[in-house]
Amino acid sequence: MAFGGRCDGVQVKGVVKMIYLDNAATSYPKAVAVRRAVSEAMVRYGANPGRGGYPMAMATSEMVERCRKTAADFFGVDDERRVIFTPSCTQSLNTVLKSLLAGGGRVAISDMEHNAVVRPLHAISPRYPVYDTVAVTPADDEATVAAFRRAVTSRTKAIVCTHASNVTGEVLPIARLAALAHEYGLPIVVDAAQSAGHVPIDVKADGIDYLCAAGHKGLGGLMGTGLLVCNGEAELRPLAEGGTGSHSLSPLQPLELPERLESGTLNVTGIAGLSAGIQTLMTEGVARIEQHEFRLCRMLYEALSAIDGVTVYGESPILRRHVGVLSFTVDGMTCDDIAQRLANAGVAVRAGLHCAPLTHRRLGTLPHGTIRLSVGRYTTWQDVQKSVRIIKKIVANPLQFNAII
Amino acid sequence: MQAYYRVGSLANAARAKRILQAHGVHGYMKRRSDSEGCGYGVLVTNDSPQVARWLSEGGVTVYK
Repeated sequence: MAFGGRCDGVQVKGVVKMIYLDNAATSYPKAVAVRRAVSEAMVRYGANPGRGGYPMAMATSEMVERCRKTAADFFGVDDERRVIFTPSCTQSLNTVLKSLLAGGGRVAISDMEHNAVVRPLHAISPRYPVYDTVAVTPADDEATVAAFRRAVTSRTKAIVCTHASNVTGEVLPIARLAALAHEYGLPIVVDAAQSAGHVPIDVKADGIDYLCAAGHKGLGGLMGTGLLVCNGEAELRPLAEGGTGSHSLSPLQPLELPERLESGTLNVTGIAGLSAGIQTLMTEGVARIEQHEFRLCRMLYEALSAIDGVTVYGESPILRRHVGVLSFTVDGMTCDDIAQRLANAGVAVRAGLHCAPLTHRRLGTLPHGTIRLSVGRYTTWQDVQKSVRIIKKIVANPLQFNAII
Repeated sequence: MQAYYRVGSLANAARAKRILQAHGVHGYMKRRSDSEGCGYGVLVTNDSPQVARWLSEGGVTVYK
């Protein structure tokens, strides 16, 4: 690998030089401020928060709580105690789904959900599905809302919906689905793995009861971090009980948030990095990033659609209706082959089912999936143009494995 | 006059400190053990009758 790429517009040592189009998996590179915050945390905040009472322990504790407040402000949450640090968006989703269905019942999910939603639901009831899958129409909000309305029954406990597809980038109307859910007295659980940090989200204004977000994608933090924003009223059950540094005489897990859902030692350096990532987003403006990623994604969509033999999936990107993700296939070539050739040419993409078989069933791309391109805030116009040129050459030379560049 | 307000958790202590700061009252997050085991609170250096009310209005439960 070559080192010496660009980050924050500045040539930075240690950033791997490549065209990185796998931001849907994790964002890369991380902002310089994030790297600095993590390094600083390793030195200044090296104690376990919520445990000791000595200066470094208290300083670490206060830093973690400042980070919590930053995340709360970012998502429009009044009470920062309702922001839970989790190891991942997957853990956040598991916590909510297993709590909401602890007493039985079903959920209505879209047919674009990730395995982070589907697998916990299967684990709850391996033999009898506890979910109803709703065929959504990303280009038609009325149709999507109507479809969910038809899916709600007396046994439905929640509407569960991805905000944006990790395969096609299409955005669903979560505010309208939240309103629908509330019409029936139900909460809405939103998987914001692909939208947090890419599109503006206001939990209160959008009516979201439970927002599950990855810390390491659009929010720009480290892998191993996630958020669960609990605006709803259900008493969520922890996935793990354990030490919280409080009420320690009691064998019972504390009931108060956030401690109820934060047993064990927190990922302090990860939280410091996540907070720095969120602060850079607040400085730069999510709307500005959204515009940047939309322009790149639209360019990719139009350029790839014009190549003979290439099929691009989903509707042509529309601002606010798409995040910077798209998928394509090439006639007569396997996705793995194309991805490998792109890797040989220095372009990082992801091929396959993207842990979203429901979406691929919907697109008709089972069992092999697609090649997914996902831009990020540091992706440049040149990156995208070069990637298109490389893809054109690959398509034009299907038998030449080491073609290009 | 100093006063210690015991709260339920570290996050509540941080919130309490922030609430008091907004009212111009300086508080320190403190870790203390008591009959419940390990716990957190806020040590206020200039206590006043309004402190408990501000904390209550801010959604922070104070334990005796």
